[in-house]
Amino acid sequence: MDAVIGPGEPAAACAACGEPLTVRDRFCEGCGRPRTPAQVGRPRAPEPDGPPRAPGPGGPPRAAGPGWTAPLASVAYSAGADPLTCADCGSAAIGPDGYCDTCGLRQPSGREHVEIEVAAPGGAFAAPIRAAGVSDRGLRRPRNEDAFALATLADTVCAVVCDGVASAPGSEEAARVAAETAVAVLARRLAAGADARTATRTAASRAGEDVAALAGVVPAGAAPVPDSSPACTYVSAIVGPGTVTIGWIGDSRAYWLPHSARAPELLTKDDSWAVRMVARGTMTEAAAWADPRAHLLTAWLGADAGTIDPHLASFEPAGPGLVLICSDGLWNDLPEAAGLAAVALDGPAPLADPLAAAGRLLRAALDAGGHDNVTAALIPFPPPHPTGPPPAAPAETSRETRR
Amino acid sequence: MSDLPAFTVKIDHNPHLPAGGRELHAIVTVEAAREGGGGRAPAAEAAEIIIIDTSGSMTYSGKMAAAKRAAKAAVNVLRDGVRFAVIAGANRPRLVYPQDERLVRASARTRRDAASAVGRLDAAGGTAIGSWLLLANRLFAEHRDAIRHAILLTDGKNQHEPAPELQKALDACSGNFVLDARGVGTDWEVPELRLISSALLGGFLDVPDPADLEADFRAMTEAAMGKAVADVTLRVWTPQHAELRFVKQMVPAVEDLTGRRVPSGPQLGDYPIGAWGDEDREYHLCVEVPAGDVGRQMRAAWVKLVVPGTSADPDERVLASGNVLVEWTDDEAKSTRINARVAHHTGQSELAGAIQEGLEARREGDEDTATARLGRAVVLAKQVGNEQISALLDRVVDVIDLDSGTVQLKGEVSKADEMSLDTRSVRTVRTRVDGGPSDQAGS
Repeated sequence: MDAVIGPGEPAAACAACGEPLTVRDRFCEGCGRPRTPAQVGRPRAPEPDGPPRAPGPGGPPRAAGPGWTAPLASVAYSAGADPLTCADCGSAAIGPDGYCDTCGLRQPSGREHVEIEVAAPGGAFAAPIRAAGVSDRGLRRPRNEDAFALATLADTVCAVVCDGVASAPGSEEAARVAAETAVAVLARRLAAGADARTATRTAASRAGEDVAALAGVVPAGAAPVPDSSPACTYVSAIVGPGTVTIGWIGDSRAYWLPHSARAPELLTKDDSWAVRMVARGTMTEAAAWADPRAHLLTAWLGADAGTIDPHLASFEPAGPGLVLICSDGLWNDLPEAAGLAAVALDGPAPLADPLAAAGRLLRAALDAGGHDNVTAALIPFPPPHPTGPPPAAPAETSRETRR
Repeated sequence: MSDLPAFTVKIDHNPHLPAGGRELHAIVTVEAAREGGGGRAPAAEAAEIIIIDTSGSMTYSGKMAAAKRAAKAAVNVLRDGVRFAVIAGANRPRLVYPQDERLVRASARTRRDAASAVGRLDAAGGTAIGSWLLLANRLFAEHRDAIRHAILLTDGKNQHEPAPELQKALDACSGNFVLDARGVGTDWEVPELRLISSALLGGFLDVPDPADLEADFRAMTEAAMGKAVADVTLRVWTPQHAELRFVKQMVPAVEDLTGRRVPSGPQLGDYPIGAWGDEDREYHLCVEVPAGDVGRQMRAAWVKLVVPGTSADPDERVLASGNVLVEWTDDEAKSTRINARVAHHTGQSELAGAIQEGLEARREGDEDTATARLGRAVVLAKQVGNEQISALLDRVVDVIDLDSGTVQLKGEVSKADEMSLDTRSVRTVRTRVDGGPSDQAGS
């Protein structure tokens, strides 16, 4: 479903000015107008909700790539292009598990540390930042099995964080696929006029289908493990001008961190053993969290997960603030909303610079031991209006930095 | 071959190397289990040849009568349809059953005919084991798709053919069938049977009392009937510029496979590991890799179990695989940790070596070396929890101080005890997951 058009397809031309368009162009180089579906060289699949795919060698990391016909003014990002040649011996054969087939050295996946910022569409320069996120391997895990993706529409921002279940092989891929699929579906559905709750449900279930489809695909070098399919947690946020909508499955969380004297709050309720025990009243909170089973998931995305029915929460914030979605690598060490708010908002203009705020959260988690992968995405509420030239000459301004 | 067992490969090692560290040890546990367990006979074609020494010396101490009973017992547990033959060995080999040079299918009638032919055997002549093996090799040649196994019983030295003949015969037979050997009495040579059974991927044991032969032959044949797949290969990939320093089978017995490497592709080596039924074996791998920077990870070895194709399905098959992954760390608490199974098997390798060197020195009259090596063996046997070997050592040395390994050679040691210790020096005990010794492996 990603191959709407691919490299080597006949070039299209801009409907407005006739300038030739390459397959990679989402905007016309001549007049700056966005490419429209009509300009796509051949009929699209009925439901082109696929995630953006990896570009070819040397291309940017999994930005909205060729063939992904993004809705108008939406930009989706996640990170994690696979390395194509070995940085150590130059061999072109890297196994799917990241180890070089010649020298045996594992190649960096590009996901050890990822930072992404997304600016409001339409601004020429210095457009306000709509969302930012950081994902990091942490200090103890050999790889980063978290993933996140961000997208922005005209006045709404979407973000998804997924955390691969470490005990199930292939979960690194599961998290990446889930985040990319979900953010693409959210953006498309909202652009098509769906309400936030419906879009949230659809995105989660589509992400669940894509993760389930990974089952049975055994990474080379790994022994097939029966009854173990790639799996991940899921949390999504849709931040509109008046409403915040959260959907989740598993123990990745969402928090509301108001930029005011109001109390910050946890918006989600984990699908975990500890939360279930407390909810049933069979254990005290302290006893449940001290139990070794505390973090066992009671729901997840994966082939063995059954029907995907995300929990939903929406609210209308009374004032500005930051919506935080994160993996348990962050909240394990900083479980209280107040603690997270204190760290995230402790900087100059935190709402204008969510990347710096995400960086502060990461630093706090690493300082606390960095036992797990850490991922935090921050979305300022309300989404800042684009400033600069009018939308007649839309030109996205989004920055992405990776280290 | 539709009845292939399900193979699993498990890797035990300390995956952390210190900065600059290059040497990595790993224990590879291979388990084969057929669906429904071992109760059911495998569907695979099998071929079995029983080779009985009928040299003149077999007439003493009731050895010939015991050997006949043992051969009949072995024939009786052949399952229907298995192709088999019985060979009598002296200066030349002679087919006891059938009479022409071929294998026959086991049935109630052929088993009965074979047993009565065995009953008519007489002992006379010498011992020329190489010629016996070559006859077996010719008989097996027609049955390459079957699981091929032979049993060899001898009571004496291979002294009636020129010494190089045996080695030539082993070279010709190697890879064509698996052979388990038994030495009865005390006139046979331990190194000779070790050479033969090792070259043919089997085991060997001493049977001091001829009366024990019958049960032993029955058990050996039943084990052979339980094999479900032949010619399994352990294929090891190593990184460029790495060296596979050794590959040793450790369970059920120590067997150095390093020299048997057959290159099978770039950075790939194949080590033949014979026929498998429901069983598990353990291998010790030592790889030397180029050092990586702290924080880097490497695949230091990739182990696969491969079976060749058959005439019906010529493609080889990978039955299971396992990765030996390493990471360089500056955390000494991690890099200095010694994996318990690696430690256990390192101790058992050293134990086998210490016994063989100690006995060799003792035979040559070098009492100082013999005392030192056997003393070390006493300590190691205790350390790895190999009680059978501890008991055998007690018959050869007097232990003065167990902790330091101070021992005195016994003045009088029976030939049978010495041979038993020598033979069983390579028999190992398994490790539990926590590293302690558990059940005895082998018999």
